[in-house]
Parts: sequence; C-alpha cells; structure tokens
Amino acid sequence: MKPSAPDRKVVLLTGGSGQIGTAFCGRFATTYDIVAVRHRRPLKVATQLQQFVDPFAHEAEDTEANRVFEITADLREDAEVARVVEVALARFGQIDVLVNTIGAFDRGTNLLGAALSRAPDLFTLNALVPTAVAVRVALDFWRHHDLDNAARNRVVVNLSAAASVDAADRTWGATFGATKAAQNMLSLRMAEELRPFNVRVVTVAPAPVPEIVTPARVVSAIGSLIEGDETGSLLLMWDEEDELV
Amino acid sequence: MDATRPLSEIVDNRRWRRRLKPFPHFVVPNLFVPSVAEEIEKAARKIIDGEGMDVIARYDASGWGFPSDIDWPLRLFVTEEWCDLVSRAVGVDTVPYVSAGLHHHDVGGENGRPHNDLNPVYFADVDPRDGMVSLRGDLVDLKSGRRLQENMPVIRHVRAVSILYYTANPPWHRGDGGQTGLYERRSDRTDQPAATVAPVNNTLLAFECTPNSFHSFISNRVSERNSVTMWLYRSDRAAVTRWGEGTLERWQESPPPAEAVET
Repeated sequence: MKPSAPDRKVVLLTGGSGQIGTAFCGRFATTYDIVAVRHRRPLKVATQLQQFVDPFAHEAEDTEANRVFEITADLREDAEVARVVEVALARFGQIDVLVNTIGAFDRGTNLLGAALSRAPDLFTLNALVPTAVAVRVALDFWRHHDLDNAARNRVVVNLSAAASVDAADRTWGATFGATKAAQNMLSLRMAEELRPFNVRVVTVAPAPVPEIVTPARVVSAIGSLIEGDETGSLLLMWDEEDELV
Repeated sequence: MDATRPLSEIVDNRRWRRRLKPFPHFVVPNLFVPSVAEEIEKAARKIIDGEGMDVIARYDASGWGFPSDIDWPLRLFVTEEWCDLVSRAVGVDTVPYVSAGLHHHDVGGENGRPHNDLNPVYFADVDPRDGMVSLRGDLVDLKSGRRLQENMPVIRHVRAVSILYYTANPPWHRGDGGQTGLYERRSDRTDQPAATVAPVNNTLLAFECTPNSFHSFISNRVSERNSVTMWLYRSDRAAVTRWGEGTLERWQESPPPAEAVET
C-alpha cells in the first residue's frame, strides 16, 4: 500500500472520464491523490495505466505528481462499488472526499417518446449509484473514523444539475431533471445521516455544461466546496452567478 | 495532399495515449488533420474497391502491399519522417526498412488468433527511396528469403513495431466487432481480449513487437474492416540480442536455404 502524504487528501472520483471528471483531474491531480473510476470510456489524463506523449517532443507529459489512480468498474453493480472502495482504501489507506460526477442523460427525448424506457437507467446512474458509493464509503470507512473525519474535513460532493430545480431547462431530456431532483433529495438525506460521523454532503447544480457553465467553473466550485464547511447545501450555478441554497 | 508539407502540420493529435496493459501500445484517435485523413481514405477506398487485393494466406482477409513507387497520400506511411516519428514514440531503434499495405476484412470475417508479430522478414537490399527501403515481393520472397531475381542481395530483419491505421470503414458502434483485440497470453480466446481498439477511422494503433505483444483481429459482424497495416524493423542482430533467436516467430512455410540469407 502506498499511504497518502499526511496532508494530502484522497479523492474518490466517479465519472472520471466525463467532461467534469476530466476537468477535475486536470485541475486537482497535483493537489489531491485522485482515485478515478471509469467504465467504458478511457480516462483522458495520465494514470498508472496510461501516459500521454507528444510524439514531436519525445517525452511523456505526465509525472508521478499529476498521475491519477485509475479503476475500471461498472458501478451499477453492488459488488463493483464494494471493490472500488476496497481498492481505494487498500491503495491509499483513506478516502477523504467522494466526488460523484457519474451521470447520464437522454437528450432530446419526450415522455410521449422513448424517455420512459430509459428512465430506470438514468435514475440508477444519476441518483442511486452516487448514493450507493457514498453509503459504501460510509459503512466501510467513515463510520469508524468520526474524529479523523472532522479533522480532515471529509465530504461528499455530488454533481447535480440546474435542471433539477428548473423545469424550463430541457437540455438533457424529459426525465433528466427528475433524476437529478431525486439526487438532490438523496443528498439532503445523506447529509443528515452522515452528520453524526462528521462527514459533510454538498451538491453542485450547474446550468448546462459546457453551453452555459464551463467545466472549469464547475470544478472550481467543487474545489471550494471540498475546502469549505457547508453541509446539506445545494450550489446552483447559473449563467453568471452562483446561488447557495 | 502536399507531399512537401511537414509531418508536424498534418499530425493533428499531439497527445498520443500510451496504454500499458495488456502490453504497452499507443491508441491515437483523430491522428491526421481531417483533410489528410479524407485523402487517405479516398485512396484506400479506390484500391479496396479495385481488383488488386490478394487473399492473405492463413488469414480471413485480403491485402494489398504498397509498391515501392507508391504515390501520395499513402506514401506518407513509408516516409522516413513518419517511420521515425512512430519508432521514437514507441521507443524502438529501427532500421530504415518498412513494409506496408492495406488489409481488408469482408463482413463476417473470422476471428484471428492471438499472435505477436515478432517475425523475421527478408528484404531485397536495394537503394532506399527517400531514406527507406520498402519490401519488394517481386525481388525476394519475404518469408523464405528466396531470391526472385538473380544476384539480388537479401537481408533479414525482424518486425519491431506494428502499426495499424484504421481507414475507409463505416461508422463503428459497440457490438459491431472488427476491433483489434489485445491479449495477455497467446492462449487467450480471441473473443475475450484484455483490451480492444475499435476500427474508428483516422485512429492509430502502434506497439512494439515483443514476445508478449499478443493481438488479433476480432470478427466483424456488421461492417467491413479496413486498415493500413505496416511494420518497422530491427536488425536481425538487434532482435536476436534482445529477444533470443528462439523467441522469433517462424513462418509456417519452409525455412530459407542458408545461402540465401545475408544478415
């Protein structure tokens, strides 16, 4: 096992190959020890399993400092969730931050069309899987470390969407907003249940990314929430302003 | 395409992904700028749709070897500049010899078998063109080293870098098959690879040929599968020193007569 440097936070990131996950790794790989979970799509950052080379420069661009730890898993399977948490703990000895950027959308579908047929998958990926990962980390690690949790300001950051509170936002399809609204409610509940263990839970809900809010801005907000002290909060990110509710 | 345009202007993706498992390999989508990729595709399509493709022995595919006087845009692949770029990226010292061609699999092509490409190949030791000597099947039998022209000097090299460039394929979707499978072991089942590379046009797959670089074509159930397939080479001495004579793959045909080989 390679223990993390004492003052360096260990982040478990779901949805590591998505645009927010990629931006998060790019921004924070030198700040945190990141365990990035991906499924089919490869990560776009350097890991223990891949490097990036500019063939005209003759050198790999990555260094040990900006490499993330990659795990391939289908988090819809309970056993895979358990394996990811176990591997992350075995590798780094702790999980300080869970950033859930995993999610899916069904752009352009209507309820009278095919939206309902895909709704179970969307609810699973947008609401249930992020919650399941948080529950697994809590049961396997956080509930036994309440003092450390407070000292290290441990936190869950869930990526939701402004569509969860804005019915007029139709960017991501008919059921997307509902799935993210469910995630918001589950996050609130999780904040209550983890409060006794000194673990915070916050949610970021940006307007469509990257059309209205840039990935960099979302990632910056996630970084602020990791280092902040809020819990049970929802950060709505509109075109120009953020709103903490 | 302008043959004088430097490679640095036509290679669009400057961030080549090097995956380490099951063995080190590069996967580079969007390799060339779109205009060049389109010209390559047109040239490949013209040949595939023509009558020059030959059946490849022991392989459910047909192929067309680049002639030594091949013109642009396909000539790009046998230029010294391109070969050097790939061999440097892969990290292998190669000799200025190259073999390249088009490979085509009809729909329903059968699975190949995991193999490592670590084969010796016989070249006619002729003057290079633009710094590279291409395979000359009209002068020397590549597998046996048998001279097809009297007094032709023959030299044996060993495949050092395998390169596939997917082109002239229909859009690929998961479940279509036709990928290149990568394997941990020679005995792995073709349909159970450790990793796959999808035949998405303008994507490069490149890796060092080693005793463990097991790969295979996976049956294409939906669409034809086409690629530029090429190899760069190590000298025979370098390959034997690095891997040992016993690890080199033997062609299944008869071995060459000893006097035909000049290494």
